Amino acid sequence: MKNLLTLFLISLIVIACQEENELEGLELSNPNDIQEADYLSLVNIREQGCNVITVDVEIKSQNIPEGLDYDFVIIENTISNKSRLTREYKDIYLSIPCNRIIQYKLYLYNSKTERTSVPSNFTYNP
Amino acid sequence: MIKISSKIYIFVIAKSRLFLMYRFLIFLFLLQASYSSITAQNQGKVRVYHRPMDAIVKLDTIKLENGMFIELDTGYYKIKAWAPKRELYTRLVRIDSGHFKTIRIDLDYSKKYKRYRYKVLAYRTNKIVLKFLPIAVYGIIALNTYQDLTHYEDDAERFKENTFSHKTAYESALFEPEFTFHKLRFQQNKENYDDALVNIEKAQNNLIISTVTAAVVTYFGWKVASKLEKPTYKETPLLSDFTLSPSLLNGNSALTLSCKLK
Repeated sequence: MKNLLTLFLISLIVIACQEENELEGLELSNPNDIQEADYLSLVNIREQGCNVITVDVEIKSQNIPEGLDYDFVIIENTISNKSRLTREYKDIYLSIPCNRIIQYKLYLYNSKTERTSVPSNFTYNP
Repeated sequence: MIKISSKIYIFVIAKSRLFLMYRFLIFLFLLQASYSSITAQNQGKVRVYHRPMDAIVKLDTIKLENGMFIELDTGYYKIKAWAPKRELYTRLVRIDSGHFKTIRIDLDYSKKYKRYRYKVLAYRTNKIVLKFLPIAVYGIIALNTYQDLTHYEDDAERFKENTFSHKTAYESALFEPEFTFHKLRFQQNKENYDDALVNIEKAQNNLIISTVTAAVVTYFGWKVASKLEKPTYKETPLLSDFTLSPSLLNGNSALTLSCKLK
């Protein structure tokens, strides 16, 4: 009888050991996970008409994190949602609506992994 | 009155003529004895086979041995048989002239003894139930809960590993879809881990409650079980092994008291 009660007591002690929450307060942080990056910009903008411009792409290598491999740049028109994939960074023709402010989203793109970077925003104001 | 001895001891004298003559004489003696017994006037024979073997069987006041013939005058006799824990058996027997009669008696357990056996069974069952049923029930509950607990602990471990792995992947991610993917998976696994911990806590609480309950119930169960009284069986012998019979002793009439010593 006493042995049984001792057994129950030992069981209670063993069972009562609570599992600690080892993930408490665990947060994520990545300096590259941002809404808008400053990897790319459009420079040297030349108006070819009311609805066409030519631009050069400036790649800000100093801002691009190490290991972010890319082989293309994507220029996305936020009005028409049309994207342009390019390897050339100079004299790129872009169609624009006449006399309207337009915002472009610029991405670095890795064609092997099919991944895109965080966008860099660029606003063109004629 | 002719009595036939139940056992005849023969001393073996190998390959002698004397031995052959002895055998012939014994044969003649047995033949004559059986003829005389059958043809005896107003007498018959009776024997009783009884079960159990230790039963006391009496024909009026004469005690009978199992399977042994006894020679009696013709008429009616009352046969009684009894053994410990058995019902008393009574029957009227008619002995006819020159007849052999065999009676088989199978004594059934007495109602009192059957009730006693039922009480003993109930006593043992109650004792076992009071002592061990709570432990058995607790064992089943504890085993199931322990299995659940192990399952939840495995889940928690898996979710924790996944959470750390997605955290690492997220922190080393450079492209947009990876951020979202690993962040989402991190959150999901972290929530699952929290749920697993809640389940573990619930299972532990259940186990604690059942352990305490089992301990209390077992304690009182053993107390009550130790106070249970074991049924006892007492009975009054319905037939005595003693035999009181008239006899002749040195030419004087006497009463003989005999009993079977075991």
